Amino acid sequence: MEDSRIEECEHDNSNTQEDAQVEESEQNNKDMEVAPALISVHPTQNSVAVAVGSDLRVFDLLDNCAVTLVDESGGASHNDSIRCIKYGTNGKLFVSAGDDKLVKVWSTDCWRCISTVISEKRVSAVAISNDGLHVCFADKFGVVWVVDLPGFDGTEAPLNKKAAPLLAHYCSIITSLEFSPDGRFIVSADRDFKIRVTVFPTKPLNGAHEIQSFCLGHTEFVSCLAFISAPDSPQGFLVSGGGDSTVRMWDIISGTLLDTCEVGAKVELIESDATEANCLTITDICTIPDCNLIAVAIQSLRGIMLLTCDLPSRTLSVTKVVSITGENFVPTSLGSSISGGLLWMVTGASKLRGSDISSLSRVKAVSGFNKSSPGAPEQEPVVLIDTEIPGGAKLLEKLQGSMSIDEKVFLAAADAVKTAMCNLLIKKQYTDEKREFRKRTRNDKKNTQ
Amino acid sequence: MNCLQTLAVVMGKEKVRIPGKTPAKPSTFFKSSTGNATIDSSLFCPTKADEGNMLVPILRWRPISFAKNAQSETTKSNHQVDRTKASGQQIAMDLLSTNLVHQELPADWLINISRNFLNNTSMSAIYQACLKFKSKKVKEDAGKLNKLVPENNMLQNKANPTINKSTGLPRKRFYRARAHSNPLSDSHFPVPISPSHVDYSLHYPQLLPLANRTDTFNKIEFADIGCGFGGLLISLATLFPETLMIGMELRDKVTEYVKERILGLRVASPGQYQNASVVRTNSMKYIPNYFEKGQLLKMFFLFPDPHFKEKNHRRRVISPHLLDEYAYVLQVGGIIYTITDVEELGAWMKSCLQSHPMFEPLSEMELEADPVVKLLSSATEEGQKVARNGGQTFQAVFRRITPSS
Repeated sequence: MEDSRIEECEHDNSNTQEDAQVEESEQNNKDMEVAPALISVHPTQNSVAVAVGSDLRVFDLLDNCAVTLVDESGGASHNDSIRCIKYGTNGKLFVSAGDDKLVKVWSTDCWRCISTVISEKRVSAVAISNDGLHVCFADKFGVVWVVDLPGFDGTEAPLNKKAAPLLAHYCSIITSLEFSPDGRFIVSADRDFKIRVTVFPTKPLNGAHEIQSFCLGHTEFVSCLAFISAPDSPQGFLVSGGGDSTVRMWDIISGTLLDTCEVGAKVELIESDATEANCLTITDICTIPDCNLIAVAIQSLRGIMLLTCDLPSRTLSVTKVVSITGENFVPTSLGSSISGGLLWMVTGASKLRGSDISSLSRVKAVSGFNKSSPGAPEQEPVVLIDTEIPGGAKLLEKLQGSMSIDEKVFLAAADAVKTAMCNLLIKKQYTDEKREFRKRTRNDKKNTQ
Repeated sequence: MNCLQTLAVVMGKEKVRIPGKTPAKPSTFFKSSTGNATIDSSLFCPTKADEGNMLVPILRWRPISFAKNAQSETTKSNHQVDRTKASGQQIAMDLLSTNLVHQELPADWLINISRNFLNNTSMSAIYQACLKFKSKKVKEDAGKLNKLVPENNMLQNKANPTINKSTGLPRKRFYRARAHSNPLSDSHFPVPISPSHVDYSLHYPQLLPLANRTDTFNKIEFADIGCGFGGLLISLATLFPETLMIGMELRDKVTEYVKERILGLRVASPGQYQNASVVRTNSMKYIPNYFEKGQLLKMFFLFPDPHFKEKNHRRRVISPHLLDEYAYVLQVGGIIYTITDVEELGAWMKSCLQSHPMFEPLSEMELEADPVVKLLSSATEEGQKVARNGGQTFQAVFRRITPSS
């Protein structure tokens, strides 16, 4: 799409090459503003949250009703696209943050915003410590900040805290932040192909200085992280997906790469229209508890791919592809709960250009995962139809904004999200002339006579 | 006035009044009102290749004008300098006869003069004369002159002009680069995916010739971050002949220079310098790609870029966050050496190191006992420049420790 525009400009005599390049960069910027829809599920499936653009929508599954968020700051809770949402593992806290440089911490009991933290730069990833005492968020410049939250019971006035820097990846967008299951380590992944495992200290406000290991092996940006719990290792195994179409498994204590799964190649076999030469990015990764299964959402794949993690041999292998028939549904985000046994998926985007609908989202769920406990009946994962989803129509109405959405828009949304991610995270290779052109606004070059 | 006197005026040795205008600015020389050919503009302007180089020496000599009205009536017609063979010879003879060639003539000036005014025989003559003089620089410069002669060029077309013929070492002036490089820009040089992908056989061919090494000993132990022109590496290589060391530098021309220098030294002193190498990389981003946890024994940060502006402090190579990474690659007990001539930066680096829980300062006794400490201020170009200018240096040497909590 972009290439044809540039060709047009070159044929047009009145446009100089400069204009074409300026236009292209503006277009890139606008493409980057497209924000994918995100989903997160409460650990015990009490509620489901979906974020589309600046809109945060929560549905309470216990009371079977939509949730109204209470935010003392008044007005819409977020002013700009939300880029990351997460529930804390103890289920009491929920955090949302994004392009408006605000990190909001919510209590999941009364859905009141208990703390708003101001960040200097746009936030790209968040994580809550397992004990619920600290919230970490990462900005686009590579710095991970930490904020401490003393136990809240929801009745105090919201605090606006100041964050302290915890650690930093030098000048690199941090794409994902996760705590290990035992809470000892915090793992951060960035756009420079690196995953850093740092010891999470007892006093995080003084900084996390001790690096445990670096997990190096991805050949493109790392896009998502997830942990698999293992009975014999308290820190679990780290699974990461990247822009190189691979899912890799790591031992975080030593930083060794345990196994790599070439997922992109399998997708090309399935999807006939995935014909681009570009690598298909792993959009999101989610572990399904009790099953040793990992659900992987990949660009262009209409459905999810399930990988099995064989713990004794520490290998990953593709077991199944769950396709979503009847709809053009390419998931942009996955979520699961510890006890619910369902995998939740959402697709959608906001700030779409060239479309009447500026934001949209569609939620689906998959059930029927084989539990690894013996005696459980063999099941096939199946995509639930709308009526079978817990919460049913009410949930869908709240989280999607409307019941039915035009199919064509979904493909456009999926494409837009794909372009946005590529433009943001893949380093651009410039030709020499273009590089010189980009330097034209520099003011420190010696003037030649 | 003959050509010689013209030259003398140019060099500022004699004050001769040129009949007509006495020029106040060099620019008056360029625009010749007589219509005669003036000097080739390359004489006073840096050439295209030199543009952007901050370290090109500025010529002290003013350009010559060979406009007709600058000559006195005693000039014989054949002294009129135009681009003919005869005049070229005349200049050459004058130069030789008055021993002006004693003075240090900048090579670029010589080359341009010769290109414009000297013929091949004259150039060879000057070259021969220069060889007799003691000054190495004059010889070098004359050598360049000689290479312009086509017949000589044919014989030497394999010789690399950037390498000094007599010593086999690269000439710095061909490797000049801007002193400042932006560490934030994503330059496109290859980066190893992980420390096990670092090709040791490329860097240390004699010591570790196998490309895929399965043995785990003999790893790089010293790293000079921002090694510049390689002064410290060269000194350390002979001081610690058993240790593998590497320099990391962001600027590619400078890396080329260090590479050539090491190669030249390896040839000149067989068996030595096989343990030193250089790599072009952004050490602020990619150190974990090169070194495993606890691999390094020593890390050097000599005269890093101060980045004075507050907003540029994040580009400083020693910063609280980057120290985490340096602590990761350093062994417990490993030492980090920093030195600078900028007081504010020295204070900054010291305070960063002191407030980091994984570093402790070395005691005075330990500093005295360490042979490397003396090299910090004397081994590198930058250090020697500071010493020449009588500046003060601020060093901070710390040891990596296990954090107490």
